[in-house]
Amino acid sequence: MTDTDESSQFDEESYPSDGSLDYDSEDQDMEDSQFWEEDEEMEPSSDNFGAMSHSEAIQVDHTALAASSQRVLEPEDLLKGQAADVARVSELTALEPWRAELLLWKDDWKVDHVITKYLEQGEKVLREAGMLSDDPVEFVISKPRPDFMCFLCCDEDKATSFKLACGHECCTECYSHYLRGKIQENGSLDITCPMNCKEIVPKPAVMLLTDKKLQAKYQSTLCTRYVRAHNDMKWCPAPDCGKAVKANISVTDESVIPIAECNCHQQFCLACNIDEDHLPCPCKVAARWLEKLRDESETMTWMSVNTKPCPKCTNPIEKNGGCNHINCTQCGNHFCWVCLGDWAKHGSSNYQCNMYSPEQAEEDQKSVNAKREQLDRYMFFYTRYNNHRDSAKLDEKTYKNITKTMETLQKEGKMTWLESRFLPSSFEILRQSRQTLLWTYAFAFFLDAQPEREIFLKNQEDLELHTEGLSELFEYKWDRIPGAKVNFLDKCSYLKSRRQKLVEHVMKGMEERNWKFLN
Amino acid sequence: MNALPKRISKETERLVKEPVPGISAAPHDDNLRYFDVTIDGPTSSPYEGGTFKLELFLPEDYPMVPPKVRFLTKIYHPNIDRLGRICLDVLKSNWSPALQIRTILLSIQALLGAPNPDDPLANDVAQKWKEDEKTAIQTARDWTKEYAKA
Repeated sequence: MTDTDESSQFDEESYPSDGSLDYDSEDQDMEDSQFWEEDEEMEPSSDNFGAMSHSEAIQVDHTALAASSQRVLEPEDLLKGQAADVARVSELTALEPWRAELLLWKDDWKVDHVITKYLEQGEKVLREAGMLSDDPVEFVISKPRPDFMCFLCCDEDKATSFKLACGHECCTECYSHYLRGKIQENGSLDITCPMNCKEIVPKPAVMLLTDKKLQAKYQSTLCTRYVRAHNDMKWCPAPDCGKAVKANISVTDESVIPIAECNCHQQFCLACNIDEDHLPCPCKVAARWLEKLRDESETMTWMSVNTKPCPKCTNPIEKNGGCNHINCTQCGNHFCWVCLGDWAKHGSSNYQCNMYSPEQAEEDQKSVNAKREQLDRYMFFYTRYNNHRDSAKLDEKTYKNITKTMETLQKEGKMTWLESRFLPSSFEILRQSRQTLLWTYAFAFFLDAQPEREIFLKNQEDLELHTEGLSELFEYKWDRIPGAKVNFLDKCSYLKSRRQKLVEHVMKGMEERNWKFLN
Repeated sequence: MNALPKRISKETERLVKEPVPGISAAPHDDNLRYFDVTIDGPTSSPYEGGTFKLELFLPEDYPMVPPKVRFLTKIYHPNIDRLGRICLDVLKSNWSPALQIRTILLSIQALLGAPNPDDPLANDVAQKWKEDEKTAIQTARDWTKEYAKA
């Protein structure tokens, strides 16, 4: 058997597996109660997590999820959360903690549901969750005795042995070996007794029979399942981050866009799979946009550059030879590539499109326009959306220069480091405004004509104008920066409030279900 | 290779002493983890009257991982492919170290008696089995006669 899977989401350090996180240990109980008290002081809520640890970076207001409505959870918070749930169920059902944990695991950590179900149905629930007996159990390794033979390795002279309530006893070496295999395959509280009876091997037994490395892997699998069981929790998608974010608001409410920000600054939506801040687009609209982008963007761009629509049937046509006489294979129309007019009118020896007639042109144009307009409309929004994406990438370059500028200002005695701190925070505002702006184009693309749309477009225009204004300030040479500080601060506070207004306007419409989208 | 685990020698001993009717399994002299196996086709199945040869190997980690088993005799069966590989849950995800060579071979014998075309390994055979069971069973009989006669 190979070593523990290194691709595990957690390294050993993040899971102290010396037993201190085991709910049986006294230390942990103490920690837990402290942890609860803290929680209640901070905010009287029923969840298990302490206040979010704020990073030192400038906190930018999020309209959807203010810092108070999300918590970043470190691996140890997740373990504490599980322990607290277990303690609660254990207390109210008078079951041992390990039994409470199995019940919670079985029913996706729905604490109240588990308690009610057990109180109503009793032992039956225990059977279903893999506890075949409700006799008190002690998880201990038995001393060697002469009459014992391990049913797995058939050795009779092994030192120690272990069994669960089901009574299937094998030597500790075989038991550990068996558990190692199962844990490496991401097994957790679904690992059954090696005899394949339905008895589940509970956590205390696993802790007793495995080494630290495996325990860490086991805990991480438990946490993964724990996060997955909660629809208000999500793992931070940033590579190797290993933290989760929990929303303190309902994420199933469609009028909320729960954008979370991890301590590592990664932003992601808790309600959908988009791993960025997609405000002000509702999840569904954002998803539609991304789908359209995937389906069409490349083709569309290429087509708009390389093809012309057939004046009769509007099918896009690529000119693949030198001759201007085009024969549409779709509708059989013959036309001129240059003027898009009927080829017959060009005569037999006429390659000069000198037969401009306003009436004809208008008529031709009309039929093309309808279909062309659709494409143009898409291209309009797509170009702007994409432009902000590109600008955002270029802005990142600017960001790298900020530190240099700050150093220069300090060296030249123009500004202290502290005084120039407004630069990185202004950049954060710029980044965020762009992020919002690009998504406003996706929103506007699907927006049907309605009075509120005009307000939205005005908001968008204003945001865009001032975002570009701020972006320009960042192009200043370092010696102009001190003089422009006021401009930076003005722009930032304006942008901040404008962005807020725009998002709030959209959100208000969503709450009142006012927005009408195109199909 | 390490010394042969006691579990394996016990299983082998019992397979020889109390053989399962219709099944034989004997280890190679030079590799005690490698077994020559024969399974008789179950009565009232298309494989009746045939004797099928298989090979069985116990990997280093046995019994924590299942034995590797493969048909050597050509057989027409929806859950056994051209190379003789077998699609059977207890040989994969449902393996438990409490299972033994004996129980695995019994399961394979049972699989011959109850082909499951809804969970196929050999797609063409399974499709035939579903579309025209009569012909498929006849083919299985013919193959048994042709390839599995002792």
